[in-house]
Amino acid sequence: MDYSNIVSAKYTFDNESIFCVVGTDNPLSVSVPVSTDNTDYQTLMQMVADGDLTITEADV
Amino acid sequence: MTKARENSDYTGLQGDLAGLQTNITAGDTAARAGRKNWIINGDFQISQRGAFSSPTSITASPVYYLDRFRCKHNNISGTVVRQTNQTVNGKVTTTMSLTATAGSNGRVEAVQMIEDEVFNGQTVTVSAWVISNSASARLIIHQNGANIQTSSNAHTGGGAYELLKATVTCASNAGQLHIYTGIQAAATGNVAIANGDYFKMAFLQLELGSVATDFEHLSYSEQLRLCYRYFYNLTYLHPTYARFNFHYEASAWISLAINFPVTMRTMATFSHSLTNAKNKGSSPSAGEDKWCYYIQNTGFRGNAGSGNISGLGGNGITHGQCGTVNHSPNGHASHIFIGTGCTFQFSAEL
Repeated sequence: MDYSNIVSAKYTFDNESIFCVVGTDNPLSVSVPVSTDNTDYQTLMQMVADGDLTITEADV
Repeated sequence: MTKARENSDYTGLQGDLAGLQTNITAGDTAARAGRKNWIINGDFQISQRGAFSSPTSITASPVYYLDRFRCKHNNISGTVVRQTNQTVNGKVTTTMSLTATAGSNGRVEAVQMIEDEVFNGQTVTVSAWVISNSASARLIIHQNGANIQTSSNAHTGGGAYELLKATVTCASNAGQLHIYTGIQAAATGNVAIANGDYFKMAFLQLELGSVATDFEHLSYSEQLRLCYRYFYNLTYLHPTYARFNFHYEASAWISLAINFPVTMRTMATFSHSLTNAKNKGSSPSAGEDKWCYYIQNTGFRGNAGSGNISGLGGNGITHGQCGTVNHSPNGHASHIFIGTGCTFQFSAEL
């Protein structure tokens, strides 16, 4: 996952995943599970803690 | 022949037999001991993310290229390339090369993290055949729990293949082992590195014990199955596209399940390149980053409504439950055709 090119990040409606759009010219849809064993999830949480990423709340 | 001579010969034969039996038992035990190489894809057969047959730029952030190997550079720039049909130590194999494309105080490296934590207090040996023009080309065993690094002998930098190896008795809190390879300092730090410095490796092996033994060869299918636990690239039953049945849920909502060949290490990250703009409305051609719906009794169809395929998400361990996506019009879309040029991947890497 190309963390440096995350365009948007949002929790899915049931908070099971973080849905990211990565890249602009040829975007990838990336669904990262909310699972502490998943290294992508670990990195996203670190980015949030560092102030490098904001994850939008899920639609209700 | 005298009786004494007969007895002497008999006793000698008994001794020979005992020795033979010991040797057979030891050899037989070794032969039946099972797999010995803890490195997955140590002969670089598997590369699900791409061929990387020409030099591909690596970044300062660690990224997986060949299966199970995460590459990066530090403070310079570099490339990775995978080459097949290379002759190393008299055997034909595949190699992985890292090359610095700028010079400075930096490093290029590829690392494999071993999932199993079974090395506390154990003696292990890492080995590989390496060709390099750098005297800082080496292998390093990093005990992640104890934060201890053990370097192999450094390559002479003489431009010929040399066997590099390192042995260490791990600490009682060794935890995971990370095997670093590349041009770097003995403790994985930066070194003086010149533009054009290269590190090319074959037959990477990590085994229990203090001896670097011959590389354990596994077939392509065996290696691929081991790699699937960490990364699964959609495989194709058809040369130009993958076809999956939709589960028609209600109204125009659909989902699809992708069964994984093996259980993944953890809940997988799902990545895909499908967007509405890439809906071809007809069967994708070979290599196309296109897709389309198929509607029962109607045929191939494109988008016609508010449905947005880019919203397709979902994760799993035994299978990827992908969906749901609102499909328009409200027809019974029975299949999705995904071109071979599309990205459709699941990752559970360490």
